Amino acid sequence: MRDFQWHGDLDRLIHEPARLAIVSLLAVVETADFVFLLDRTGLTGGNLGSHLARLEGAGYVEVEKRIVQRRPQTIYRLTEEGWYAFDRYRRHMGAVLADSHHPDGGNHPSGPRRDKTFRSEE
Amino acid sequence: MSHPEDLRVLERSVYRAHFDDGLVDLLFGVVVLAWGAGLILGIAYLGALAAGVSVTLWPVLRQRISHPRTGHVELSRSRRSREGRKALASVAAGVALLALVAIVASGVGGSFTRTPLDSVGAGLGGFLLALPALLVMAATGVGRFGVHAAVFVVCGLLGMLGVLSLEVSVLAGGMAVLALGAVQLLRFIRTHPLPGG
Repeated sequence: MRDFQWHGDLDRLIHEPARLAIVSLLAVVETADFVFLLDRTGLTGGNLGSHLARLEGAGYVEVEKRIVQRRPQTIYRLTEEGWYAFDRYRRHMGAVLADSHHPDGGNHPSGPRRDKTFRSEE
Repeated sequence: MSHPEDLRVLERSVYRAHFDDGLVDLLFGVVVLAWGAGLILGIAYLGALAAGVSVTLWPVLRQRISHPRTGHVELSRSRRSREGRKALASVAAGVALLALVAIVASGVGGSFTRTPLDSVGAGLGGFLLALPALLVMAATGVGRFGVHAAVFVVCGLLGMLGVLSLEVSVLAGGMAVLALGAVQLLRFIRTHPLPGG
């Protein structure tokens, strides 16, 4: 199991696809509201709410509720802790993917063969 | 998500989504249309007035139309300062170009015989309006503004060929961009229904 030790080190809170999408979006903006995250991630309201609650619980996301034109608006922001966790996750996954090249140049017997151009680039 | 480039692509996509509602196209069309109408009616400040109203109206319309559908997002500080500089430069360039169009129009108007210079002058409005559209395309990366630039170039060519006067070519360009903006806005409203509505 030592070969897959990275599994244990991975931040599973961010590794989940929906939360990874949320954190990625919040990483490239200053703040975003619930509707924006709903529109960009394509999640349902309930699903998005539960993922955001988990991220907030871990201290990765902070929430601000305000009233804009007599309508409630919930604003989300990635915390410093969230930023570091996301940065760590990206580095981690980057290293894992960089090490994942097949020893046979990507040609697995059951997989499609790479063309010559791809090989020469490698 | 393994490369910083991925986040840059995502950030650009979020930024470009700002223009999906077609409001900028619509308001740009209104400004050009007003400028053309101003040239015909001899009311030089009509375009400037429309520009002022459009700049004021844009955030209000976004708040009313776009935010309930696609939400509110505050872009990163670096993006905002970059966009602020670009917006200032674009407004300055736009005002200078439209002033040039007005000057050319006042020079061309009134002459009954068309000299080659008049022909170029009559097409200048469309060609000059294509420049801000190209600038906006370069700044935002939204290809639709390239179509607007092409529309203005066609109007400029029609002006040069004597099919349209300078005033009418500006007016036609404005109407075309306004129509494209309206189509884009309708498409946006159709593809982004109000959540729960």
